[in-house]
Amino acid sequence: MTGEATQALEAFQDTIREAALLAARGQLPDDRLWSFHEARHQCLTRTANTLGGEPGPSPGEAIAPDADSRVAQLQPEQLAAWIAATPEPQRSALAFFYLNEFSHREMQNLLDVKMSELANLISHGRAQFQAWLNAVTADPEMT
Amino acid sequence: MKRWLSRRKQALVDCAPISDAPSSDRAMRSALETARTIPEAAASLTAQQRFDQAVATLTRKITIPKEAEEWFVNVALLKGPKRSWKKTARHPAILATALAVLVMAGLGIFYFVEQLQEFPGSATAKKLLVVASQTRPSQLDRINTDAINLGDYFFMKFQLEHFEVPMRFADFRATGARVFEDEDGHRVGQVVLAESGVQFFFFSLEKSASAPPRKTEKLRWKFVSDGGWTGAVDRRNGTYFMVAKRGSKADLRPYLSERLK
Repeated sequence: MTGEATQALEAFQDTIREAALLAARGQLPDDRLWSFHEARHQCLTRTANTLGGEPGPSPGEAIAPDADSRVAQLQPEQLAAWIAATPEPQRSALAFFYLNEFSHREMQNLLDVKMSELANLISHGRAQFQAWLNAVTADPEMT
Repeated sequence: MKRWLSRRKQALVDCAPISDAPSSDRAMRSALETARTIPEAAASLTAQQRFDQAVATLTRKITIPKEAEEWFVNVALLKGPKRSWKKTARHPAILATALAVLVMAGLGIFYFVEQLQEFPGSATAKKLLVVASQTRPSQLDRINTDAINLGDYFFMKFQLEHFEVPMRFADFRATGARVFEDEDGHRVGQVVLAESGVQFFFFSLEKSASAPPRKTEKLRWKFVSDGGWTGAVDRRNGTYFMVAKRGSKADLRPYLSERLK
């Protein structure tokens, strides 16, 4: 979400502090999504200036049958960096989706978007990631 | 003919769950089932799910900083306030369920009470209350006798047995009487009293009023209301006797209790 480990750690710590503060006052919301809302807010606040001017939307490509083989060539940090570089709210949508912890209704709640918007964000992100994947990884059939 | 997914289903397929486990969401399951019946959509969905699974696997490999892992030990200590039973009771789903149960219980009690008021002659008794409200003096034979003599009157003139007034009502003064047949062909005895707004009815559910009485005679003053009149019905020797009074049950009950003392 932040593209930078130090900022991510600060966002995480501030989220925990906020939770501790609310818990001490007996005001911690009884909502399992609260911490994700708060963490996203912390990340967006920190990256408002640094990641605001990321590259515009790149043309996407259809998902290739060998895409999983190409993904396997990547390092986790490369994926994290690519997701962090995408503009909001696509960045949050991809992060939440690939964490594989939320239903699409929960993601709509977290991102405050409609179903069609969420589908659009994920679908475009997937196509753009495929295009980037084609550019940075070798064709599995050639290797 | 080429088939394609609706925009709504395509949106759901774009967010299809990464794992192969069936979704708990009905709309999502429906969209995925439809997509699997269209060859192009099925191939696209398979490629999408393989792609998503590969990315999700890679996502899980992103290392969490050690400092953050240490903080997770303390996260378990953070607990929200326990939801009180009052707060739980105010939840809309609980309120709606409670309301539905209350309505059903109310209906159940209403029908149960209604059932308690019902007895074999109640339908006829209600019809006779309407008759009571519409009867004119000219429709009746003029008589002038104590109610105790009505049994003889009905037997001698109409050959009707058991059309006898209970002893508690024996001293009432009858001023008019008649016998007619109701819609079912049963003969009904009607008596108008000198006392305004009170009438007696005798009726039987048997075709012949002289039929032998039934063995079970447990009816004791059941109330019916219709047409602005209320009746108290009792059964003796197979014949129903009804005291009808203009007004509500609240008007008739004290009137009756005076007589039953």
